[in-house]
Amino acid sequence: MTRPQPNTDHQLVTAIQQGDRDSFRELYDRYKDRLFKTSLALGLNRQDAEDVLQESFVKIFQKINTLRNPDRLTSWMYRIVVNTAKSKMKWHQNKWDELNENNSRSDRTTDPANVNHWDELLRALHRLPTGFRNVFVLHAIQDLSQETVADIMGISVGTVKSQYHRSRKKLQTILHEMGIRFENQ
Amino acid sequence: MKWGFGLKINKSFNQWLNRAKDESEALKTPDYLWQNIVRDLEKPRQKKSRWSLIGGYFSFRPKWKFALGGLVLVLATGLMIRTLKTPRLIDENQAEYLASEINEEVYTAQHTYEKAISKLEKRLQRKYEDPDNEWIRLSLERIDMIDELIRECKTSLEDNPYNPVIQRTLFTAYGEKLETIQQLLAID
Repeated sequence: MTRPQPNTDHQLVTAIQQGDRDSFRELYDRYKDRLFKTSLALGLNRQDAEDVLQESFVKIFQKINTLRNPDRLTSWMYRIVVNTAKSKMKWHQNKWDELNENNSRSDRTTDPANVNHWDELLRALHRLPTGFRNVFVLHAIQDLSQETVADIMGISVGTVKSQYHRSRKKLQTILHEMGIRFENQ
Repeated sequence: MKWGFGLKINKSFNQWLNRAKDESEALKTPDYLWQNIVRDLEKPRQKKSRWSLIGGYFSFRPKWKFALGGLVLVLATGLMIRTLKTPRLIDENQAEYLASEINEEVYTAQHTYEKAISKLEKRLQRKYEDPDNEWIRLSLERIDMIDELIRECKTSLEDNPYNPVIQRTLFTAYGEKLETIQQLLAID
């Protein structure tokens, strides 16, 4: 008789805390694409986004015993990714422009015709201030609630709301400057 | 009219954003990443030694190496000049009287420092439960070393309560600790 596979995040966390590598694999499969996309949208190039994801999952496994409330797994994991990405960016700060330039060129994973909007969005996001970008990526792209974003970023829900609205406006202006018109679509 | 136009833009922007999000679904994490994670997890975790801290210094960028080296040099020179310039008390009775006066002040100042540091330390612990930045880790290790020095000074002061050199070292250590904590708290 085989034991039933854990399904909820809560069950997965409990199993991983007991050292179950299969559950960790399940957690990885469940979140890898979302977190990878987040790393890219936060402003990293493809290589760095892969490094950040790898480093983050190693940290997640090593530190999951410190997670007391498994219901907060999502925000905890996103926080690790955001912090790891921040460290990566600081490390590369002197080459920031070069990175952005590479990013816009090297992140086309499929046919460029199919990823046009995503590429444009990434380019526009890179021109947003870091705080605004993080809030926008987590709330608008990752569809996380404003409360969860506040928890991840360590700021109040009010700040998330105002930063989100300002980032949205600023992003529209940037896209407009890039020659993208929404009203015609 | 203006409102209607704004709503239209917002709706179009949302549609545009959704298309971008749909396109991003094509992004997939490479398969080899899991193998890398497993490989990293199987590596034995190494505890950082004091030597690796020194190694950390060498991994800094040249401008930071230079700045840190300069700071250490300035602090060491300042401490040396202050130690050499300390006036020597000749009269033994006068010395003892002054020493007891100073000692009273030392205890008061020590208490004030410890109160201020304790408050800031609580904030620091909350802020850096899990530091992932090399510079922050180094600074926290530095605080630990200062704590060790403070403990040593306190022990020495129990045997030599009037020793001005130990007193000065103690307050220099307090000052250093306070400054390091303030720098860490100032980081965004």
